[in-house]
Amino acid sequence: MADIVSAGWAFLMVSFTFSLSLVVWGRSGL
Amino acid sequence: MFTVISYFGFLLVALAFTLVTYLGLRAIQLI
Repeated sequence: MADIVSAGWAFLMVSFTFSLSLVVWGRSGL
Repeated sequence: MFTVISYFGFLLVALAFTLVTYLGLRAIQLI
């Protein structure tokens, strides 16, 4: 059960990270 | 610890899907 919660947090963090990454990629830089 | 492993695992999956999609769209010259 605790593993599912951890995976959920990890997924949330990846969502943030990847979202920012796609914006940086799309805009070709910071 | 499991959270960290999951984080990089999910990140890898996301990157893989993005790469496949990007190369696919480029192969059919949609982008």
